[in-house]
Amino acid sequence: MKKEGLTYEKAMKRLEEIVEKVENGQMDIDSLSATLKEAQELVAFCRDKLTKVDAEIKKILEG
Amino acid sequence: MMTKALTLLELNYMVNEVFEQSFTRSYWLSAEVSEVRENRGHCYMEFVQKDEFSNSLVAKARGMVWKDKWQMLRPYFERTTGQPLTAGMTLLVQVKLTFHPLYGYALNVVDIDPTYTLGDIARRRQEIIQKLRDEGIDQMNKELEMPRLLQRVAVISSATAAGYGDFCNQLNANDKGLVFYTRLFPALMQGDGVESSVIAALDAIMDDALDWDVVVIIRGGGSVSDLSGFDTLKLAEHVAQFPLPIITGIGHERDDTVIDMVAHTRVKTPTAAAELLIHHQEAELALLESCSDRIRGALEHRLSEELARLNLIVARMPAIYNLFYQRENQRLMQLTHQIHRDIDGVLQTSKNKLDLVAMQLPLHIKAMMQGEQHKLKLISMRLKAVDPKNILRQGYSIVQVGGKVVRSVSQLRKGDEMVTIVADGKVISNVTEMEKTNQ
Repeated sequence: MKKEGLTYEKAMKRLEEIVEKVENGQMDIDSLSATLKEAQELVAFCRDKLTKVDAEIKKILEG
Repeated sequence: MMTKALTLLELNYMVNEVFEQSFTRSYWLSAEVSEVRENRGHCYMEFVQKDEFSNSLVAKARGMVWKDKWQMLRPYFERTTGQPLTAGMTLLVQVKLTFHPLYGYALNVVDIDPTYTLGDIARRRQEIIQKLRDEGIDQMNKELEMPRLLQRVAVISSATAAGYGDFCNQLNANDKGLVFYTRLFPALMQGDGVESSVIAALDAIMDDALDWDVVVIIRGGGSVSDLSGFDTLKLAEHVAQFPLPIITGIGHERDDTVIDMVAHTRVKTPTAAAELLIHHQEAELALLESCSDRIRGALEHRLSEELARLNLIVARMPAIYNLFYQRENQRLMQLTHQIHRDIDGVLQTSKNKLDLVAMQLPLHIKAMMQGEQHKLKLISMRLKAVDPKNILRQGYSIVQVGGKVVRSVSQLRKGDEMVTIVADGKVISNVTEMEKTNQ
């Protein structure tokens, strides 16, 4: 999933898809590491959204 | 004769006497209050009655609650209704009629039944809710989905009250390091200006609705204040139809105002509103961690499963390999016996038979090739021997008549033109004599 245009909601949806896939054993063994990498990126993206101040947003919203 | 004129005071005393004789008991009165003010501990109010249709005044009377009564009635009223006694309310009061020479007719309030007012407020709220229901909009804000990322918070509150500050402090002091962005859209939080200023603030947020995730309407301070401004149809319509979820924390314990009823979520205090947002985001963070753990767990599980599978295959491999090796070896040996019976003896004692076969193979192939070459040579020699040219060279000749080879005398007639082919040419002659020999 490309980072551009990625929103928190989309990222969480994708993460939940991945969780379901890996838990159901639907994941192709060859793509495990790629999947893990994608999941880690999504988690980092979402965690950043929740816990890191986006200076741009802060500037626009809080003035 | 001229009657002695009364002084005004004398007249008023007379009226007073009539009052005291005529109205000895007290009365329960239900009336709207149009004005309320406190002065030196006493409470002064004005009761009115309006024409049901034209809304114009048809009756009016001054009233007061003396300090000693007011000290008891006021907290009782506020505790029961959750609101202070304010203009616009309908009261059920027990009054004594008084007449004062200087101040005239007035109602001395000796008791108030706040449940009546409460019922009246509730009834009015219900009327508003019913109207919203009839318009089909009472649930609209509640039906909005709260965004998962709930951090851009537009706050409607009084600029002066501590509520906004408390709210922001509370939000930012969360121990998970969650980020929130807030901006205050100032509005009046009590009195007559509530409706118009809150609507103006909502409109301002609406202008940049995409910038915000949620709207929080909060009012700080613990004391009971006039919340009637939150109980208007117009404000309720705005709140109900607002495109972002609205959380109210107006800070009253007793009961819900109309906007509490139509807002997405209602909490009691600004602090509770902040906690709600924090909990919402904490839940997201927890979900995120659990996603992360579950993916890691599932992948580890999957990998260990695959590894176990692989180990199992590896563990079984020598056995399979041996079996395969033996079987192949046997097959090869049989083949070897069949093809090369003559070298059986060489292979009999060999431990590494396969290697030997491999070593021997080129030699046997060579021998086979030589044999084949020899055979080819013989065939070629035999072929040469039957070549007609060679036969002709040895002195034999071929005789043809009419293009056909002559194999018998009986094929010939006298005078036939006969072609005799020899090694280096042909002779044409005529048949003159024929003699058949016995074989």
